[in-house]
Amino acid sequence: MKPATFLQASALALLFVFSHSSFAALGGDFASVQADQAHMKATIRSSQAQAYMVHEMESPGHVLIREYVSPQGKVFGVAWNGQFRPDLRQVLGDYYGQYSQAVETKKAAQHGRSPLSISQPGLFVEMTGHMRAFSGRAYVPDMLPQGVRAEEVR
Amino acid sequence: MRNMLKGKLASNFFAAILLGALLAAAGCGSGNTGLGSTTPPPTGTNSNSFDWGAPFFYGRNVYTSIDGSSAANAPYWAYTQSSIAAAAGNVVAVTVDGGPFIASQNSVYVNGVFATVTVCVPGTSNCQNIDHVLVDTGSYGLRLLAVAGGGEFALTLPQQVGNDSNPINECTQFVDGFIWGPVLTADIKISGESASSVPIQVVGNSTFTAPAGCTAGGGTDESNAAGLGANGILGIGPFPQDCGSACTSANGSTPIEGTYYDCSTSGCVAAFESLAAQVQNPVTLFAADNNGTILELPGVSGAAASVNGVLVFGIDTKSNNALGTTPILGINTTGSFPGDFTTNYNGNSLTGSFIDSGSNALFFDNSSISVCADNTSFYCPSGIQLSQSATQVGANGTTSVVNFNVNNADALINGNPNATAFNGFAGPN
Repeated sequence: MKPATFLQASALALLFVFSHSSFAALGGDFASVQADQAHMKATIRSSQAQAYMVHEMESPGHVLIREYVSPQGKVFGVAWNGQFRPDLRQVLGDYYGQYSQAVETKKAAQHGRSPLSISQPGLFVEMTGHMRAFSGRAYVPDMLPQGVRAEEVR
Repeated sequence: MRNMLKGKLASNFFAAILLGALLAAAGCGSGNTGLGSTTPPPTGTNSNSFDWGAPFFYGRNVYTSIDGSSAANAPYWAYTQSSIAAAAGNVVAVTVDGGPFIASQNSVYVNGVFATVTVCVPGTSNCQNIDHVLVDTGSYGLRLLAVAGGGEFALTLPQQVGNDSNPINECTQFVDGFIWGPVLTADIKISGESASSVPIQVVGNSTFTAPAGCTAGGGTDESNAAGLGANGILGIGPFPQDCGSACTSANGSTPIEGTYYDCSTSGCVAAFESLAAQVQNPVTLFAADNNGTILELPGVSGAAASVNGVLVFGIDTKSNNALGTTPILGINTTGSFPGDFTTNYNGNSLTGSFIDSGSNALFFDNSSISVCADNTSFYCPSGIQLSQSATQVGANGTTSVVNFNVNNADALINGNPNATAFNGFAGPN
C-alpha cells in the first residue's frame, strides 16, 4: 500500500462524530463512512491527502478497507485488501446492483476466471488475489475530484 | 486457486456452429462490459497483483514449500528448468487437456492442469477415483464437485459437525464468486501417498442455502460444472489450511462471515473452525513427502493439443525432489498479502504477487497492451508477440528476473482450434 497516505492518521480520527446513517459507501455521503464502520464492526483511522480524504477501516477479518472522500463529502472510491473479500453490498452501496449485473454478464459471456475487471462508463471495479489474500478497488469515474488520478484509489 | 479457474468458452474452439452463439453473447455486453469493448480504458488500472499463472509453469519445475513444514526456509516458491521425473510412489501424472467438460459443456478449460485423486470413506476400501481435479498452487485443500452439481463425486462420507452436532458447511471465496457446501472427512490417496481423515469440501449438492454472509462478497455461486470447469480443486499452495487462525476463536469473540458455518433447519450461522478441522492441504497430512510439491511441466511452443507432466510430492525427501542450489523466493506469512511476494513490473511494485497453477494465464495490468476483441480475459498485442520483463522479489529478499512473452490470444486460439495449452497467455488483472 502507500503508507504515506496515512501519515496523519491520528490527527483526523476525531472528526468522526456523526450520527448513524443509512447511506452506503461508494457514491454516498461522508457520513456513510461511519455507517460502514458500524456495519463491519471496524476500527477506523483517517488522513487527508491533497484533494481528498482517505479513511481506512480494519474489519475483524483483518480486511483493510479504504474509502476516498472528495472535498464535497462524497465517497468516490473504495479499495480493500485482506484475507477475505469485504461485504461488497455494504462497500459498493447503491452500485452493488450495477456491479452484480456486470459480473453476471461478463461470466455468461466468458466463463469467468480469477481476476475480475468491470469497466463501465459509470463504474470501475477490479478484484484480484487468491485464497487468503484478496484485494480490489472500485471508483465512480465521474466523481473523481479535479486532478485526482484513478490509480490513486488503491 | 486463484481462484478461479476457468477456461474460456468453447465457441472459439468449436468453429462455426458455436461461433454465432458466442458473438451473440458477446454482443449483449459490447456497449458497457469488458475491457475490450468500446468503453475507453480507465486512466488507472494498477492492481497490486501479478498472478504468475499456468503459462509460467510451462518449461519449469516449480517448487511450492508449505508453511510450518520440515522444508528449510518454508514457505517459498522456487523454480528451475523443467525435467520431468520418472514414475514413482511420490509422483502423479498431470495433464493439460481442456478439462472434463469439453463435450458436455462445449467448453475448453485453457491451460488447466489436472490430476486424478482417489478419495475413500475413512478406514475402508470404499473409494472413488476423481479425474480432472485442478492442480492449484493458489489455494489450500481438496474440493470436489458432486454428481448432482455436474461433477463425479458420489461417495457418502462422514459429515463434520460442530460442538452442537450440527453439520459444518463452508463458503469458499474466489475473486469473482464462491462455492458452498459441507465439510466432509475422507481418506485421500494420490499415487503412492495417502492421508487419513482429511477435512475436504464437497459442493454441488448442498442441503443448505448459502447464507447472506457468504453471498455478500458478490459474484456468482460456482458450485457447478460451468462455474468450476473441473471435477474438483486440489489446493496445494504454501499453507496447510484454507483459512488459518483468522477462522479460529483466537481471532476474537465473533466468527468471521464468509467462511465456516454451523447449519441447522433454522439456517446457517458463522462458526469458529479450529486449525485441525479446517479444510486441509492434503500434502501436509501425508506420512512422508509432506513438506511441499514440485509441479513439472514441459515447455509449450505456442499452442499444444495437450501437455503431460508430473506432480512430485516432497522437497528433499527423495532422490527425485532435491532442491539443490535452486534459489528460493520467500513468501509472506503475515501482513496484508499472506502467501504472496513482490513483483516489480512496468514501474510498479506489486506486493500481492503469487505463483498459481490454477490461473490459466499470467494476470497483470498494463494498459498499453490491447485486450483481445474475442477473448476479453486475455491480451492481444498488435505485434502478435510482445517481450516483457519483470523482477520477482521474495520475502527473503531474493530477486529473480523473469523474461516472458505475451502472445496474441485471439490469434493463437483461432489458429489452433484443437489446442488446450497456450504459452504466453496473459490478461488484465
